[in-house]
Amino acid sequence: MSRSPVDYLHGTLETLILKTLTRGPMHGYAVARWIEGATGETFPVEEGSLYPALYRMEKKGWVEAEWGVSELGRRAKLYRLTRAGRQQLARDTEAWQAFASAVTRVLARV
Amino acid sequence: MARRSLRSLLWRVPVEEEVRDELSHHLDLLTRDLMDSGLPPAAARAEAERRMGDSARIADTLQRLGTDRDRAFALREWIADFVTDVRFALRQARLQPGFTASVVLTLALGLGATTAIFSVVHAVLLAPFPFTEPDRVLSVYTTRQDRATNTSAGNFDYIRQRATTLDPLAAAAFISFNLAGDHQPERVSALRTTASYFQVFQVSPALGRAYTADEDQPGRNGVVVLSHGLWQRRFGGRMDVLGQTLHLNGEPYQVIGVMPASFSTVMDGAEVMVPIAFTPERLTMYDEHFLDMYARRRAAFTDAQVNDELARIAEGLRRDHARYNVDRGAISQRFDESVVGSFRLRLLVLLGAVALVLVIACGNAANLLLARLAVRARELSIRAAVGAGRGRIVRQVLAESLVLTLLGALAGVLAAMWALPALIAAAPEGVPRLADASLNVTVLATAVGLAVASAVVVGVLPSWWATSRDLRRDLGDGKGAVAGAINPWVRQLLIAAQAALVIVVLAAAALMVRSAINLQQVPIGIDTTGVLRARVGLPAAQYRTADVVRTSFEQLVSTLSASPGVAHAALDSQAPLVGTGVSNGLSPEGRPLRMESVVNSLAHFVTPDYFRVLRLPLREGRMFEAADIRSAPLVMIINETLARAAFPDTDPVGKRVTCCEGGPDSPRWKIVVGVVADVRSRGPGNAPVPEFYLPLAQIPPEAWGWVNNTLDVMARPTDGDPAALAGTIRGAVRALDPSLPVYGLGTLDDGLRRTMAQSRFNTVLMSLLAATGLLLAVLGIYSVIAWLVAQRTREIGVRLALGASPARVVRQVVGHGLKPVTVGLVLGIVGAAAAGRCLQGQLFEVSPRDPLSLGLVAVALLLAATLAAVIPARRATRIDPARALHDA
Repeated sequence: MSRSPVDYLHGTLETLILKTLTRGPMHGYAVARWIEGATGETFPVEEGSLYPALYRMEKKGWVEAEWGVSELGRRAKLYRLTRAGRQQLARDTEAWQAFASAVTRVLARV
Repeated sequence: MARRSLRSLLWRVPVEEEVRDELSHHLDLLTRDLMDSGLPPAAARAEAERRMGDSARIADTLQRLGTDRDRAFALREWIADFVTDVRFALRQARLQPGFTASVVLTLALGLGATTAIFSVVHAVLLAPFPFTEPDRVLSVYTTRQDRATNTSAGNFDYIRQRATTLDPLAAAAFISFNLAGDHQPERVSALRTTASYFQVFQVSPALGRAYTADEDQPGRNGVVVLSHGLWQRRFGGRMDVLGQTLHLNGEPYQVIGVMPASFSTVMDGAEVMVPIAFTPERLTMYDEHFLDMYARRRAAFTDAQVNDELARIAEGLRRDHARYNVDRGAISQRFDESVVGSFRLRLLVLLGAVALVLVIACGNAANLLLARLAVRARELSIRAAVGAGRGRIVRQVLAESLVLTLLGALAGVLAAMWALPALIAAAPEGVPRLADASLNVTVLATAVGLAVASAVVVGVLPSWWATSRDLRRDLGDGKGAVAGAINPWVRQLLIAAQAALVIVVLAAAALMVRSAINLQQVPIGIDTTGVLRARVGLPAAQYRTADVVRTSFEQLVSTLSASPGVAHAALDSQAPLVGTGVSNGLSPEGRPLRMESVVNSLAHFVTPDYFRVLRLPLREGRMFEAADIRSAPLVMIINETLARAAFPDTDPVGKRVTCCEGGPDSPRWKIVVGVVADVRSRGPGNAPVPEFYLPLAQIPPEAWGWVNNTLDVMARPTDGDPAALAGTIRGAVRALDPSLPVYGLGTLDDGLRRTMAQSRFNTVLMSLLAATGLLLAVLGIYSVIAWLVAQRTREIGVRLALGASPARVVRQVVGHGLKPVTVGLVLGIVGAAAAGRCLQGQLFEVSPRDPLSLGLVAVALLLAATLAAVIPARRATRIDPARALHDA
């Protein structure tokens, strides 16, 4: 599923989540922290958008959830990237790069 | 797939708990991180809660999304599992070709027969007619002594002026024309109608226009509307046909329109329509009944109100025109009913038989599937024991039943596609709208629907029933609850029911076959062998006077008589077996000349050799002679039925009769000179009616109008071979006038066969159905006995080991199988005797409870059932006791 530029407003978070999960299964909190860390705190991840995004991606089959044990020693819901999710990430990455380079080309013009 | 099932087992947390858990975990982790960065626990907690924001709202959103997600998962999983089940079922079907073939074949037979016959019924009975509001289109009849008859122009006009519930009332009459133009002359069937005919059916020509009331007047009526068929056939569907001139019986008619193809079912074979153009004199003639009436009921009235009004108008007719209307009534009937009415019962009987065969087929499939289920009982029980839910097991069985039934349905539709054209080709002429029969979407959907419904009944009910019990408990005995649920008596019951149903269908077929045999043996009174017949009409435009017409015909018959190969030749206004002819009222001398004493009889205008051509035996008196001309004393010959009706107590020869000319005030008497044998002129299934013969040379001039200058010419060959005579007849007609068409050329033998074609068609259909039903029932019995033997292998082995004789074992197994058959047989005979009443109208000299037919059918079923039981039973005796005991 390729994205139209408008979708980037919503879609970027999902793409970042997919990228994050390539590192292995993790729970929602870890996903949020990692994205914040990786973007140098420029992309604050709010719980009110993180979890709905995860649930929607689960429904779409991009991620799977399983019960694991967290660092607190408690039952925690871990998200894992599926094959469909990996493919989606590849498509998103390509589309983003095309979009970004197009915008860059325009902005670079004097 | 495996992972998803595993997940579904482990991930059984309610969405609410999932959301609560996940959010509180998030909160705890956030708190911990804040504490790690130096905040005291309470402050960290507060800060974490602040950052989380409105967590109740988030939880709400997540719950909604979670529920939505789970629903999607469940559906996806169900579909995936079902696909797995279907794949599994297909694999199973491949692995057990024998079983699959039995089920598919069973359903193919049952559904194929149903689909083909349903297609016929759909086309003839169910498909709507090609005009709007068919419930308002009526056929209207006048009646005499409560029997519907045609209507005279005077009576039609009388009713038209008074009927307020009908708008409009139209009249039509069939006629045939010699059609000439720039092509070969040909004979076409025509419909003369009032202009209002088009308003009754609210139909307009597809091309051009209909004729107007103004053109429906004498002198202005030279316009013609063509049927779609004639337009295609003779004019190649060209648009420039409009405005062309056609010659019908020598008169010019301008083509003004072409009817749509769909209307041909209503036109019933007519190829042209012309205005009927009643003259004012015609509208005051009350005694010539030749019109069919059609009407559109006004929306404000009901059919009952129409009939009430018609009854009142008929009362007026009896009063105002009493002389011609004694016993006259008037009624209406829905047009579609009047067209299909006589076929309805026959078709419904067939449909009923089809339904029975379908039920037998479904019962068979059910029995086979039950047997499968029983074999797999242990597997299913184990599945249930390890936690497969009831829905899971039912779904799997459903998938298997669906796969098998859909395969069967597919095979059935293919079988029907092959059978339907064969059925249509085998059908007799004259079944209305049969040509329209095709395997349409409705028919297909019905067939597939039946298959699916039977799959659900056949597969799901027993497995549902079985899983409603505690399956784990039943694992111990090695058979399990599923087998337990499929009690042998269920299968026995199915066998009994099949036997009962098949007896009903077999009995119906047997009765119809006996009727057909009886029918074939009825002497029709004449010797049709080798007699050839053709119809010739002389156009009134060229053959203007009665004398010219008569001498031309006489010339034709004398040419023909003198031709080589012709033993005798004669003319008849209506040859037997090929048409209905003209009726005339006839009064024997000595009775008061009133309507009540008139005997309605079929008239034949014939030449002297007529009785020799047909070898129609003379019972009394003499035949016609060349001397019986118009100026000589007028004579007639009557048949035995008429002799009994008109002269019950005396010898008719020498008595006088008036008919056909001269009113009650000035009777023209004719002397009865001979009595001939009765002829079943409408076929062997119809009792003889009163008929009389007049010498062609003596008929009144106006009689040529009644027969439209058209006669049948018949010839008997010297050597019995009619084939050579066709050319001879054509040659004789050509010698008279090369522009005359010869039509309806054929042998009387063909005519005789055609009169029986309808009942033969029904008999063949019913016999096919009965054979199908018997085959299915035998298959069913075979499968049950085979299953029984398989179930009792161990027991039979033990008994053989203990010294039981094989014959005894066979007897017991067969006896076990025949018990339900016998029960079904008795029920079936009772049912057949009751159902026979529906057949009564189609039977000929056979009682619907004919003991011979019922007995034969019972014996046939018993024999077939015994055979079906003996084969697996004998196999049982070949069981090696040692192996049987070991395997079990």
